[in-house]
Amino acid sequence: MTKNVCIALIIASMVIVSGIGCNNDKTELAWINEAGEAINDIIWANGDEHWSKSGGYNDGEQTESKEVSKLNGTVVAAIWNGSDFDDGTVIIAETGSSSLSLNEGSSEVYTIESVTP
Amino acid sequence: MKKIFFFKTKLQFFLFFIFFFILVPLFSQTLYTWQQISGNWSVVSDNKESYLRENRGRSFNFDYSPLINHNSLITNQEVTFTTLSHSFALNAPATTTTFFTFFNALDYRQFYAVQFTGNANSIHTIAIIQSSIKDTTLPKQAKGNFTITTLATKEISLQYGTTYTLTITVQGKTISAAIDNAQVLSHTLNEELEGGKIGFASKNCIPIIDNLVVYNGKEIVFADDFSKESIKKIVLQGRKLTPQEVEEEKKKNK
Repeated sequence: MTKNVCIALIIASMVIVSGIGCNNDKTELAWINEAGEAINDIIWANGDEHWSKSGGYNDGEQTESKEVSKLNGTVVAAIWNGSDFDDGTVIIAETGSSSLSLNEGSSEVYTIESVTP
Repeated sequence: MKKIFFFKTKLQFFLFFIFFFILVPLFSQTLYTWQQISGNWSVVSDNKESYLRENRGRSFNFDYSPLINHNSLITNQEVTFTTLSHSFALNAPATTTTFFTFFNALDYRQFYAVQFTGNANSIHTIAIIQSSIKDTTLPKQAKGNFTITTLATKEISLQYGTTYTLTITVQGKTISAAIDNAQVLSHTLNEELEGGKIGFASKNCIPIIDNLVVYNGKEIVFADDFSKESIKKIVLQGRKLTPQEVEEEKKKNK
């Protein structure tokens, strides 16, 4: 009886450990600026992740790929308007909105193609 | 006489060119009354009335200016005024909230404002504040290069969801704030204000604003009843790269 309980516990532990291992998939997100002008900050999912660079990400530049914990969120960016910074909403073509859903465990890259002031 | 496309004379072509390539862009730029700095501001109309509302609530600390750290919008036009009034109502926040009406804005970091602060229960403080640049030798792109100074403050008790009228008066060097025509706060500056842009900013709440009227003496120098949308917003267009495009980008960066 005790032996059976021990075996059951071992099996349960192995299942739990393997389950945790399965959930270790990293979801990564990166951005390419092709908007023609510098983008200084990009914020994902209410601050779940923040890309920022002094002087901004120049046209054609790719941000570092960062691990994100939230799979659903919206995207906002800070843009230099010539005299100050404004925050701009990023409209994603696939969703037609600033909302975005990532696939768990994927490494996705989005490009920002234009800024409409 | 030689025709240029369907124009009979060079003068017609010249006038058409002037109109479409110079005057139209010029006038289209001045169509907007407001510039959205941050957040998601819109004019909301229902069957009975229309008003200005910020819809995002949550703001982000980009930290380039106090205005981008809030959800804010600013007029395109500069005004010098003696009296500014508008109605406002705030929804109840989960935690603390801030709402202010700013004026005399020279840019996003230099302005005066009448600020309301609240907790989850009520709006408990009104203050006259000044935002200024901390170190003028730093470039404008520097983060956190601004200081907020509280010039005057008073405890109040306003309810969320109730509409109040805020009136800001500038008489010489003195700034006064009144709620529903009852003066609650004033402060005298060292120098007279020279005018600037005006606007609204909020953090962690949804403000509803209406019936903005700005007087210089008896003359109305700016007014908006928010019956039509006139907010210029920055929008970025993005799209997902295909796996093939991602590979090409990797090769480019090698």
